[in-house]
Parts: sequence; C-alpha cells; structure tokens
Amino acid sequence: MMKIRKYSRILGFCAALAGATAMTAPAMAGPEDQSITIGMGEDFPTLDAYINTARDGVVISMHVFDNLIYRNPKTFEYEPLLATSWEYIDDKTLEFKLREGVTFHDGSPLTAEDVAFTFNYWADPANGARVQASVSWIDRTEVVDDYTVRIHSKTPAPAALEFVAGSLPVYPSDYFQKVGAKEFGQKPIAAGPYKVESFGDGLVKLVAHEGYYEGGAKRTPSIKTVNWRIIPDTATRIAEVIGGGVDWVWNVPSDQVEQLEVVPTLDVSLASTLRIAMVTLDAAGRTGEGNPLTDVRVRRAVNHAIDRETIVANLVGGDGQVINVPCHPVQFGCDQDAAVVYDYNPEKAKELLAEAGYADGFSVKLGSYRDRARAEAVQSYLAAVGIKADLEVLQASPSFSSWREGKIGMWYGDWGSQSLADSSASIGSMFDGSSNDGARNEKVSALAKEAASVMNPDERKAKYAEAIKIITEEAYWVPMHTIVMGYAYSNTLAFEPTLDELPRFYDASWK
Amino acid sequence: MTTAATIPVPLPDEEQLIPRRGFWRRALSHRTFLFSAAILLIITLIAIFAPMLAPHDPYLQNIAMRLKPPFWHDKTVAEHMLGTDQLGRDYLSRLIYGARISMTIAIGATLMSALIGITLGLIAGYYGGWIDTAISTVITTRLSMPIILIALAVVALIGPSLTVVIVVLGLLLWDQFAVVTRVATQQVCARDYVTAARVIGSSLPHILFREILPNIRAPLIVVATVEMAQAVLLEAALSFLGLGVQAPLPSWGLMLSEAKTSMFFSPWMIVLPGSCLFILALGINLIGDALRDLTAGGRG
Amino acid sequence: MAVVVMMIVSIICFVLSNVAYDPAVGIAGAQATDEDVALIRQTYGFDRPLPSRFIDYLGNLAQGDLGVSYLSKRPVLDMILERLPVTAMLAFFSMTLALAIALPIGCAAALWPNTIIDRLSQFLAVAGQAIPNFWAGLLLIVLFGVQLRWLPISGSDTYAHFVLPAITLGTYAMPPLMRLIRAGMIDVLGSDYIRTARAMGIQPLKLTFKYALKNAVLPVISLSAVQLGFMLGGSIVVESIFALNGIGYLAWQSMSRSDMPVIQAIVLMISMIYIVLTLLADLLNAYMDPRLRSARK
Repeated sequence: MMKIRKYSRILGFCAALAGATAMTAPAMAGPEDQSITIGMGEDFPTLDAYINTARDGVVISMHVFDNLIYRNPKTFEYEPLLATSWEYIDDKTLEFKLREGVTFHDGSPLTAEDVAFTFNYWADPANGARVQASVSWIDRTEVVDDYTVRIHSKTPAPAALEFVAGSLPVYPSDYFQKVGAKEFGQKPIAAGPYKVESFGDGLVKLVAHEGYYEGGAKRTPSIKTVNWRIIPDTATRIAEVIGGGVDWVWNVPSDQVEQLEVVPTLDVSLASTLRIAMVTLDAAGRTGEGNPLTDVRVRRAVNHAIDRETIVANLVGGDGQVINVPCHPVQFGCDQDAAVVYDYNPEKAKELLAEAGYADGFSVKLGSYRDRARAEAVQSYLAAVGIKADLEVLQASPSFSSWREGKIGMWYGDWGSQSLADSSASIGSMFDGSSNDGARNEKVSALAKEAASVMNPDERKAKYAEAIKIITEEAYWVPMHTIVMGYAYSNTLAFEPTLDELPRFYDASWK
Repeated sequence: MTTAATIPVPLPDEEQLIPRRGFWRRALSHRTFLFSAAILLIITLIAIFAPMLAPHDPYLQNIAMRLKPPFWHDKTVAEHMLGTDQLGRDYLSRLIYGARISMTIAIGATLMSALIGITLGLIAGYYGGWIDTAISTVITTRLSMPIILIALAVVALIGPSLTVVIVVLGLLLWDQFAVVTRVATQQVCARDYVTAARVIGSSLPHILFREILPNIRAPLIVVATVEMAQAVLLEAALSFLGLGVQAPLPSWGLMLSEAKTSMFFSPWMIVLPGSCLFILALGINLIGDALRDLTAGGRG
Repeated sequence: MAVVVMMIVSIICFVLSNVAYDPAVGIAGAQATDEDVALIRQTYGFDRPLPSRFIDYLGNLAQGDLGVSYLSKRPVLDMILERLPVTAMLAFFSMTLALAIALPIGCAAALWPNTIIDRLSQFLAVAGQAIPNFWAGLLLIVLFGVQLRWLPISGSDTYAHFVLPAITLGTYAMPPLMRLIRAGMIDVLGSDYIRTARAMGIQPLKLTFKYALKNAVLPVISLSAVQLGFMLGGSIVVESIFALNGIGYLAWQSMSRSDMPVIQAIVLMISMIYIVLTLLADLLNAYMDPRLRSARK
C-alpha cells in the first residue's frame, strides 16, 4: 500500500504540473461580466484571415480584422469602415480614402502603406492565399498619400468591392513583416473591434479593443469578451447549450432546432443563408480515366435519380429551397431560367444508365459532411437506380479536401461563396479550372472569367446564363438546395442571424 | 526484461489446460453459464434468421415516416414497433440486422486472430530458444502499439468497409492468443505424451495440432471470448467515429453515431442500439467467465 | 529487447508516414499541382531510396525531431507536448478512479469469496467490460450534464470537467484491475506465510492490509502501467466526445486529414510510454520483492 502511494505521488506530481497549465483558464460567465462563450466544431491551425477560410475562421476574422469597407447584411449596401469613401477612377482603378486616427491593436496608426502592403503581399500567388479568386484580380495596390490608396485590377473587376468588403482585411505591415506570416497567424494584430487575447488549447479568446474607432459600420462591442470553444462533437455542442455551458451554437441540425424550441432558456432559429448544397460529379475523370461519371448520360441519370423535393421538405427544414443552378438564386447573375431542370424520375435514370452501358449500375465514392441523414438519403436514392455509393462522412475541411484532391467521385458538399452575393464567388470559384472544379470545361471557365471582368451588368448576366446552361446541360453537378443554418442561443442574448451567415457578436448584447 | 510473459494476462494453471470430465453435466447446473449461453443463443438465432424476423426491409427509407417513436410513446405508429430513424427506416429491423454485423465481425475477427496468435504461440512454445525470443518480441511490439489508433490509421488509409474492419481487427487482436498459447504449449511440451509422440517420430503438424492443441483448448476458448467481446466493442467504436462499417449497413455503432444528435429528445435512439451492444458484450464476457470457472474448477 | 521493439515500432511508423502515404503530397497540400509535388519530392529528398530515408528518419528521431505537421506546419513534438497535460490528467484521474473502485471491492471479494460482495465484484467487472465507452459517455452527458446539470460537460477548465470523462474511461480500465486484485489476494491469502502469520495471532485486518495486500499489489502495478499506456489510445473517443483538447483528439483530427507525421509520432510516443512503463513496473516489482517474483514464475 505504501508503495502504491509512493507511485501515485509521482503521478500526482505530474498531474499537478499539468494542472498548473490547464487550470489557469477562468470559469466562463455570461451577462455578469459581459462575456459570451461560443461553441464551434473545428479547430484551425492559424488565425490568418487569408488562409483560414473555414467558416468559423471567417467569423472570427470579421471580429478581429477590419476591411476597408463593410457590406450591410440586410441592405447589401457598402458602408464605410477603414475607408470613409471610395470611387472608381476608371474601369480598372479603385480609389479609397482612409479614415484618419485609426490604430491597430498594438496602438500603431493605420496608413495607406499598410493597405498597399497587405493587398500586394496576398495578391502574389506564391504567398498562398487560400481563396485565390478573392485576390487574383488585383494587379497592384498603390499608395497615393498617407490616407489614399488605389487598387489597380488586371482587368475590369465588377465584383471588386464585394471582395474588398468580404475577404480583404488590412494587416499592420510593420508587425507582419517583423514576425512573419506564420507567427502572425498565431498572434494576429489588426484593426477590428476585438483583439486576440489567446489562441490555442481548444480556445480562441477575444477581448474588446479599447481604442476601436467610432463612426465605422461595426458597432463598438457591448459584449467585452468572446470565448470561442472548440467542441468537435455536434451532440456535445447541443448538450452544452442546453446545459448553459456555452451561450451560442450553430450548425444545429434542423430536427434538433425544432425540438430545442421547448427548452425554456433557449432561443432558436433556422435562418436562410447564401450557402448552397450540391453533389459535385467527377466529370473530368480525376478518380480515374473513363470512369462512369465522365459520361454525360450517367451524370444526367444521377440528376434524375435523386428526389430533391422530398429531401428538402423533410431533411432541410426552414426556408430551404430546391435549386436547379450552380449558384445561389440571390447572387447576381444566377438566372434560374437559364438552367436545364432534371425532375425526379428513377425510371428515366435507369434508362440513361442502361444507354450508357451501366444497366447493372456501378460503384462510386460519395463524400459528405454537415448532415449524415441527407447524405444517406442521397445514397439510398442512388442505390434505387443501381448506383452503389460508398459513403464517407468526415468533418468539413477533410471532406472538402478529398474532393479537391480527386479522391472521391461524388461530393455532397456545400459552398458558401464567402458570403458574396455575386455569381463570381460561386460559378467563378467552382468552375475555374482549380482543384474545386471537377468539370474542367474550358468554355465554362472562360465564360466565368469573362463575366468577372466586364463591367456591363447585362453583358455579365448573359455570360453567367450561358455558363449555367452549359453546366446544367452537361450535368456537372446535381444542384441540391439552399442551406438553412440552425442556431440555438441563450434567450437572454439579443442576437439576430443574418443571410450572409456571419454572426456578429459586436452587434449582440445581453438583455 | 520486457517479455510478453510479464504482461499480466490470465495465464492457465496446470490443471486448467484440459477441461475436466463431466463438463456438460456441471455446465448445465451452472447458472451464469446457462444465462449467458441463452443470451448468445438468442442473438445468434436473431442474426441467422434476421430476414425472417425483421418486420421491414432495414434499408427501405421512407422519409415521410421519419423519426417515429417506439411503442411506449404516445405518438407511436403501429407498424414500427421500435419507431423509425432519421430516414424513416424501421428501427427494429435495423437492430435485428445489426446483430448480423456484430456477430460476423466478432466471429470473423476472432477466427483470424486465433489463427495468427495460436500459430505464433505454438511455434514459440514448441521450439523455444531464439525463435521464442523473436516471436515474443513481435508480441511485445504488438502490445505496445495502441490498437484503436492503428486500426483508425489503417482504415483511414485504405478506406472503411466491413471486410476491412474484420481484417484490421483480426490482425490486431491476436496478442492474447499468442501469449496464452505460448505458455500453455511450454507446459504441455514437458508432458509424457508429447515426448512419446516425438519419440515415435510423429510429424510436426501432428504433434502441434493433434497432440498439443487439443490439450490447451480450454484456456484458448476463454481467450476467444475476451477477444470476441473486444472485437464487438472496437467495431462499434470505429463505426461510431465514422471509420468502421459504412452506411447504410445497420451496425449498432453506426446507428449510435447517426442518432447521437437526437439523444436529448429521442433518447431511445441511442438507448436501444447501445443496450444491444451491451447485452451482446455482456453475454460473451459472462460465458467466458463461466467457462473459466467450469474448466478451472471453482477458481475464477 | 525494449530496443528491438522500439526499432520495429519505428519501422512501422516510418512505413505509415513515408510509404503508405506519399509525404510529398502531404506537404504540398490540397491545392498543389503535380509540378509542386515533384518539386517537393526533390527538395525534401523523397526520391531517394527508402533505406537511406529510413536512416535519416531514425537520425531525426534520435534528436527528438518528430517531423512537421502537414497541416499546421508546426513541429509535431510541440503539438504533442502542448496537449499532453490534458491527456495525462485524464489518464491519471481515470486510473485513480479505477483503482479506487477496484482495490476495496477486489480485496473484499477475495476476503469473502462466494458471497454477495464477491458476486457484486464479478458483476461489476463483467458489466464494466461490456459497456461501450462512447455510449457510456453520451449517457453520462445526457444524465449529469443536461438532465441534472450537476457537472460540466466539455472542456478542461476545472477539475470538475474531468469527472465525466474520467468515469467513462475509468469504467473501461477498472475490470481487469479488479479481477487481478481479487485473484492475487486469494493467492496470497492462501499462501503459507500468511497462514503462519495468522497462526501467530496477527490481527486479521492488519494482516490483510499490511502483508497480504502489499504482495497482491505487485502484479497490479504492472497492469496499471500497461493500462495507462492503453488509456492514451482509448482516449480518442472520450476526448472527442468531451471536447478535451488532448492527444486523443489530436490523433483523431490528424487521422481525418491524413496528417501522417502527427499520427506516426503519437503511435511512437504511446509505444514508448508503454515500453518505459512496463520496464519501470518490472524494475519496481523486482525492487519491492525479488523473492515473490521468483516464486511467481
């Protein structure tokens, strides 16, 4: 017994050491100390907004980083943020006047130099911005004077303001150059309403930036501390919000949203988003030359095989709607009438498969995430026409990666267009010949590129319509439905979901 | 020195090696044995006759009938006694077919690991010397590696499926077979009948499989029960993590994983498959205990 | 032999991270083109023959360099060390809990065999072994976290946060310990020297706890060491359910993203811990009672 005690004392010592590090995080409160705890699903390696494009990362970015301008989520109008005014000098030149007296979290002043450095740095493809579409249109950014900056685009860039507002935060050039990109991702400094207090150990802790400027479109926060906790398991996340351990969660399955309504301490909502779900098909043969999906008849058969109406009515919930286009109907240029529509018709699907020489069906890998039930429903509809789909349900980023790396023939995924209300962020990103693009149709890529570089709205619409027509005719995707986001949060929190799927905690407050 | 023998596993005593006479007579009056045998018999019958017993096709989805509660709930539907899942598939039928999957994996993986473990153990125990040292090293290596982690990594690399799960578990769960066989073989080899067989020039396979193996079968059966229970639970854990049996196969572990977000308002969706797993693993473990008891004569 | 075992484990890890999965693809990342991959293969020397790469790999290991994560581009060793405390705490609490249940009940069962207590101990052992631990975790969350709200559900901020995960993992570690304690105690209580001591009139309680338990506990130490190693592996499910940011969760995350350097490093580390712990337990056993050790053989 003595020896056992000795033995456990050694262990106890180790544990105490461990405890010293693990126990320092304070207990999380709520309204009393104006803090809020958020539950999110995935960890990420960096907070750099140009690299961390996972949705939770984008949300954190918009609390920490400020862009030049801001897009109002209700009116979709641009409003001043770091820039007080902006104008097109010509088709390819945008000029911004910067707000004076803005400081970064470390107290250093923001000048045109910072803006130019940030944009020029990330416009270089060698620096690895994750979404190239948001930066590749920039030719160079030029300092005019301390508070004036000009962005020159390579070609006319009609969606430029959308990108400037949505995915081009401004970094402090001195600090960034001093610590380097890697370190910056761990300890970012920027000009947003919150600064990063700590990052790591399953927690991102933000505190209000005391010197945040007044007069921009983002409100000075009333909630002073935001704790983003990583809770990988959806069930645990729901348990935590019921139990009050966290104050706010999203990505709640729609079934649970309906049931959580009865919990007296919670408010729930199922809100529409700019996100669309689709089944992408390996038309280019990335999983193997001449695989069945390279045959347009097979892809059309897949389109006919899936009963999207039933899936949407029962498994999507809220205001979710069936889409027939490879873009969100709200987005500019997303013309539903241009699309070829495939009705649910399993008989037709079987005929097409037989015609293509696959009367006995074939096997394919189907990747998915977000909602296992929906993915299994698709799997079952495919099985009904003889297509055996091996389902692989992973977390968001690994699942998307397996599509991009061409490991799976079908991917029932979704695309949030970085919350940009322009088809250049959907068609332009998913059919651009990059790893997102499983079609590799040069005509479509060219159309999307042209549409993103002419200024005339009608001309742009016509180009997108043509792209949509080809994409649906060739059945590169099964366009599925819009995504409805399920939220559950403490009913003492004043919070309103937005269409752009970017919760703003500087706008939220405790009642 | 770190040898496999220092790893504490239930090693057989001398008298444990051979089942005592009157095994069945005593077994039939052994309550634990009868109880656990009954459980396993029922589950096995359910697995074998699943197509006849299941009221519905376990794969048939009917999205309009989804998430119906079981019979003790007010809103139940007569045709689905235990309700339906997220896609309107009959829960009872899926549980019944789930027994098939669990049993297939338990038996498949255990047979495979028994084959590997017993062969290695026999060779090590019979030859001794450097062969024994080499095999013991292999056993220790296997023991030192975390099973779940290796299983997950391998499955993640080659892609999950029923066959892959059986093979991976079979390749990982042989250690106890090897350890027990090795020690038991060492003991048996010293006995007269083995020496006699050797002297009269019996062939090696004859000695190993006719003389030695039958005499060490009792402890091996006990090990087999331990490994079967392990296989059942590991499969469930792998499927729960999404790297085991794949949808739409109704594995109990996968059903748990599919239902876990519903557990707050439809608790039966995780209570039912979880209980099935528990009862199966309990039955296997209990029969292992009972056999140990019966073959060792009073000592547990 | 420990060295040989480590050698085999490192070969397996090397195969896992360098042969089964192309490291050049991993380093290049999802967006890379074929040319990028080819370039990386050349710069990192992945085009050299396997044996020479393996020697490099061993050299790096010897210097404590476990490689760099494909995903975060950070040294794997840092990532593991960062997360070790949480897992160590979890393992420690689970082990303590398992021993706290196994020791008294196992002893009682041995002192009064074939009584209610003995039956209870056997039932606990069998039931504990049969409960799928992820299922137990979910049930505990629903019951104590959501219904009763007695305990925090996820995270590692306070000791209370470790209660539910420790119960979940402890249940899984307890049965073999209890069986071993019971069997060991029965053995020791039946042995000659205890009978002699009893005949000499030493108080039964003192006898049990001072003399018998001390000897019965020896194999338990070995087993505890082994179990502790296993627990690091078993923490994968528990950590992902209870959102503990430890080694298990790191392994799970790396798994779903094919981050091979991290996976192989964790496997290597757990094996190493296992080997060191069993060696320590052997030494401890020898140190505590060489006589009993030889008697056991």
